[in-house]
Amino acid sequence: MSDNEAEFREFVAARMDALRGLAYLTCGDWQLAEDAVLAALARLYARWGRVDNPDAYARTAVVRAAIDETRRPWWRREQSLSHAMPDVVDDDVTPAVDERLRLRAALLRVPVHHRAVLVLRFLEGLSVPQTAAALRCPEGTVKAYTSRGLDALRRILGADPGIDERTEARYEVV
Amino acid sequence: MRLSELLDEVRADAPPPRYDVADVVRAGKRLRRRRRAGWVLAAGTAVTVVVAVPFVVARPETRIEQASPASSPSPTTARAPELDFALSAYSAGRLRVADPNRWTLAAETAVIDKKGSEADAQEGEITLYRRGVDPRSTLGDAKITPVEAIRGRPAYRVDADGSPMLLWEYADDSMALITSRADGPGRYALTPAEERQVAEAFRPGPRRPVRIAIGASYVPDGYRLVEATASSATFIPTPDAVVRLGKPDPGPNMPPIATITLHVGPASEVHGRPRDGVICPEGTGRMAYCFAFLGDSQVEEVRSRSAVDTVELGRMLKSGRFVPLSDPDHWMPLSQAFPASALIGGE
Repeated sequence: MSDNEAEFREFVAARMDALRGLAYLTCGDWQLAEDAVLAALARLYARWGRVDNPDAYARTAVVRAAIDETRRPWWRREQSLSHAMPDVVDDDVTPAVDERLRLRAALLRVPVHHRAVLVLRFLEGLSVPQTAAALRCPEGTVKAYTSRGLDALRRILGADPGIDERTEARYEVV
Repeated sequence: MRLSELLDEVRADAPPPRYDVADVVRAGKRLRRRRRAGWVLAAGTAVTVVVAVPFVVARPETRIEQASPASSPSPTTARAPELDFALSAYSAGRLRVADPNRWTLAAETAVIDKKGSEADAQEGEITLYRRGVDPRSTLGDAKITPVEAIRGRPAYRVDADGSPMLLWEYADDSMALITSRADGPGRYALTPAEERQVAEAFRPGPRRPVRIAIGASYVPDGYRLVEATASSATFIPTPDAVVRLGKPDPGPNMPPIATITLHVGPASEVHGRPRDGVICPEGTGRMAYCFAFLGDSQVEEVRSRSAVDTVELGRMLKSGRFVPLSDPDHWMPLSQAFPASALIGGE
């Protein structure tokens, strides 16, 4: 095994779980999320050593791949459970859990592109320019999608989701 | 609860991973080989689906009655689908349409990619619906606009949440749909002009049988095949399958129904060390799940959601037949891979 491959394996072992979660929050389906992560990391493998910031590359590639998966026509998306693992059934209905489930469910009802912006900005902590670069769209679009996405969350929840743009965007350079 | 806490929350709830580091490396190497070879497919697809090499077997066309009053309020006659493909690989400008990789009751689907090595993923898909199946009923709020005819037949531009698609009639009472990969808001891999180019270059070819690398001589009673790729087959209860005849495949938002899926794929850490026999792990919730190793690196799995127990699944696995995915010349015709009783139109 080459040093390059060893490095790549180490990177994947360390980041794969987080990337799966990121993809799931973007597309709302574990099966699609895992396919998106696999596709994104396979591309990263092919470019390993030529990417300046593998972590950033992987995050944005995963989100883009997850969006891609969700845009497959829904009437033809694979229904088979050929790779589906059992859904997690959470019978815990304590208020805290209920709140998390509500927020997660609400996020998954936000239109996918708005959701992708929210995920990159508030979960991955990317700035507006970084998010725009990741999604290959104008900064103005990111700002508009952020605003609309948060509005959608508020409408769905019937309350404020508790997101403070100024503090949640961890790496925001204002 | 802050939005940023969701990631930790989700990670804690995550099901066991299907892929591990070795799977990723294998997929990366496969992608790199394909790029060097000058042809590409989406890496995720490459792991789970092998493009089916087509054809012939012409089962006599059969017709069955939608007989279940409970699931079919207005009984109609629907045609049992042929277990074959009508599409063969072809080129259209800079694009290449591969042989179909998925068969369903309603349609067959093939990947569209770029010729040459400049791309790293599929550009879109083309789906040929069977005669009488009209996908417009599944398009929801999509905007459907007539456009210039294609080879003298009606064609439509379909906009679903901004995603451009092309729908057209490719033969009498037969529709096809082209979709594009999305690269971000408002960015799509195929332009409407390219979608039209692919549609105009399409010609139905001689029908060829669907072939599959796995089969089973036993399928639990009352289940029928509704979907197949080279490496997987999905069965649902007969009444649910019959109701689908003549209609587009349902979307993922439909309520789940009982399902049995047989699948072959790479072994991973989830399966543990290679060992003999049928293994049925416990603690898989509503999903009954069994697998068996095929050599050191492949596993044959069968899963069932809210349907049959592991005894039945184990019996199905034990009756399984497998041809290596790397040997498509010897894959089985789909019509012979499973008992006739598990096929729509069978006994």
